[in-house]
Amino acid sequence: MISKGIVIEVKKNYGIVLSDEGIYEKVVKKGSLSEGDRIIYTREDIYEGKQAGCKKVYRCLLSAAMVIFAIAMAFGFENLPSQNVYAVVSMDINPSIQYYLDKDDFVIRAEAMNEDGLQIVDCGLEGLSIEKAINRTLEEAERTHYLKGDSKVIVSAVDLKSGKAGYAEQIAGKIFEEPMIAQKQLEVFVLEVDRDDYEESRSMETSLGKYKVYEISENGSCCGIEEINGMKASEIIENSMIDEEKVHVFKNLGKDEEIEMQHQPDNATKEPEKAQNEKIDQNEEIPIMAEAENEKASGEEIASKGPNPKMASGGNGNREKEDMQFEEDVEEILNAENEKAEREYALVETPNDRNEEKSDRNSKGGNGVDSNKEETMKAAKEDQSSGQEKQEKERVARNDDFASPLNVSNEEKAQSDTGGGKGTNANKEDSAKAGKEDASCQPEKQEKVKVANNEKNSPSSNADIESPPKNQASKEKESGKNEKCAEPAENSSGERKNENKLEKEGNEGGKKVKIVAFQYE
Amino acid sequence: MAKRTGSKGAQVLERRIKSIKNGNNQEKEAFIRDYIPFIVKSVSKCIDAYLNSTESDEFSIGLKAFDEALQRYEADKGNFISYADLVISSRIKDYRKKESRNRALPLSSFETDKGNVLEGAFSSGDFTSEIDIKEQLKEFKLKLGQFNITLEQLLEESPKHNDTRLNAFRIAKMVSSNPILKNEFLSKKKLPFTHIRKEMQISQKSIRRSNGFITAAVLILINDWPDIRNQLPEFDEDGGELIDK
Repeated sequence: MISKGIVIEVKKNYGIVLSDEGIYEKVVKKGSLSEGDRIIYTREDIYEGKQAGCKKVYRCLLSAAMVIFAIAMAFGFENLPSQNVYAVVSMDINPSIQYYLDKDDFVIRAEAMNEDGLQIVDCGLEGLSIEKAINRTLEEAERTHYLKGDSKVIVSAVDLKSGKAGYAEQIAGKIFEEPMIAQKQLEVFVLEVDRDDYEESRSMETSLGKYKVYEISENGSCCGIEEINGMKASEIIENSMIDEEKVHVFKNLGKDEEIEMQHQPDNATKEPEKAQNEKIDQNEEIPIMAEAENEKASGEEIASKGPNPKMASGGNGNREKEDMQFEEDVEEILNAENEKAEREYALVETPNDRNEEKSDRNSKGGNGVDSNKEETMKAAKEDQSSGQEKQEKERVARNDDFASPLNVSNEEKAQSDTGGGKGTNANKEDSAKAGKEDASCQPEKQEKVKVANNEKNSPSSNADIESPPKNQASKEKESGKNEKCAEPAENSSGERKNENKLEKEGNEGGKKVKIVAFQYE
Repeated sequence: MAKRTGSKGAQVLERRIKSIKNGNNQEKEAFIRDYIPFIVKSVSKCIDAYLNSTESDEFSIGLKAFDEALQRYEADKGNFISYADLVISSRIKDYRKKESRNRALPLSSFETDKGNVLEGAFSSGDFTSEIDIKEQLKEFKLKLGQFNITLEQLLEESPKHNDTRLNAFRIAKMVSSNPILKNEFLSKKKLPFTHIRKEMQISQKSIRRSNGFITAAVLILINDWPDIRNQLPEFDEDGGELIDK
């Protein structure tokens, strides 16, 4: 059907026509359509302006909606991840991948955090559980030669919703059982990070793990974030960039395949400190004990010259009564030791006469008695501490007959102690303290012996008096006539005897020992 | 108009063409008459403009081309409609090429012994009539504006059903032919609804629904706009019945 009409008006997109039926219609524009034109048109030329307009509106709305959706996909969803994302886990080998997890720890989305990551991220990670996703990623990394035998892996985990600690441990427990980690014995460090770290890592456009490494290196004091981004996980670990005091690290032990918690969140800092302190204490004990022996030697030396102002006039003087009792106990124990020592002397030469001479001299001055005791003590200690001297012990045991002279001298010692200066008491205390330390650390006796031997070389004047220990010393070291070679040994033997009495001494004695040693040096 | 698609339509078409080829002239005239809209559309598409009238050269060439296609069509040449469209467009193109050559005449061709050709061209009656139509349309739109009627309103109110349309023209005829109603209409610049309702037995609602369309028709009828008026249906003066053109 055709219609004839007059164009009444021409609009932008259509013309208004008065048809020969007397009705007004819109027709599409063709060529140079102008007012007054008589045209012949068909139904197909009718302009569906209104409907087309509606369609256009809908199309515009639809396209606008799609554009908005596309923009949201491109930018919005990434920046507004927390709608469905309950947790984020990152893995750095050097391909860095970040996994966004739902509340059941299934991967909603995996994101490559660097160019290497792009090579392996498209391996169907979405929908997998996190441990399977990590296993899958490791397989892909191995296939693409990013993962080698000596590679190490840093995994970081944060629970965005609850933000509670322990999530990394939970993740660690899951992933360490995966075949790629368990069977390949990969070394994996799982770092615990928090929500702030996640926000920061987003702003720095880096993976969680590498941001954490950057943060614990005191915000890049050693290297910048870009440098860390370019590093492999194995480089980070080997360079000890993960300070375990600043971040909770969960490691698998590779070959042992055990999850060992290196750092507990709360006790993490305490336990290692304790261990360190213990070590330090142990390390300190050795020099203290060595010092103690030095002190005894020096203390005696000082005492022989005259009363030590610090030791004699100090706390020792106040404890004279206690010391008296203590001395009696000591003497009893010393007697036994002296007997042993005398037996040795008897073996070596004829020490009896000399001991008598000593006792005479000692009776004149209290210090001399002590030195004599020390000699015997040292001899006894050396017997015990040195395996070579066991033979000597045996010899001493055979020669019990020679013990009597020493007993005499011990009595003399007791007399001299009561009438002698305070220096003797001090020396006893010192020896007792040293004995305490000795008792607590027997394996170090040999060291003490060595120290004592070293002190033998120190200058002395009483060579004649102390010849018997000299002989022992000469057996041990074949050194000359140093009187002091016997002193440390004597102290140590005295210490062992006085183990029961150590409790009485307390810590003050230890302090004194230190002071004396310092002065001696 | 025969269906272009569908096996039944194609069979009818084949049968009619076969009949025409056998010398059935009546069928041929009926066939061409049925396909005039197709010819108009093909020619219009080819020249990218509306045909002025069925008496234009392009339409004549289109008709001839269609007849040619009908004569030359063979069943093995595919769809007749596509074939006819191809023939029409090629003939129109030939014509336009020929026309363009004729228009590019040298100036010397106008210097003839028979007088000035240009003068004859400008004295054409078509030129003045074209100006007349534009003037009439200008007045028509001005009057519509005076009655607060827009062309968009006319587009919306144009009756979709033929009866409604004829009724509207009947009302317009009644108003324009009655001097009282006509004066009332012109003075009040609105239709005499009460009188129309009484005379035509039509509800005021249906009158108001076509108010603009009826008003425009009255204006066309009472004004001297012959070209516009020719677009309206003619009336049988005796019975007052409306006869569609």
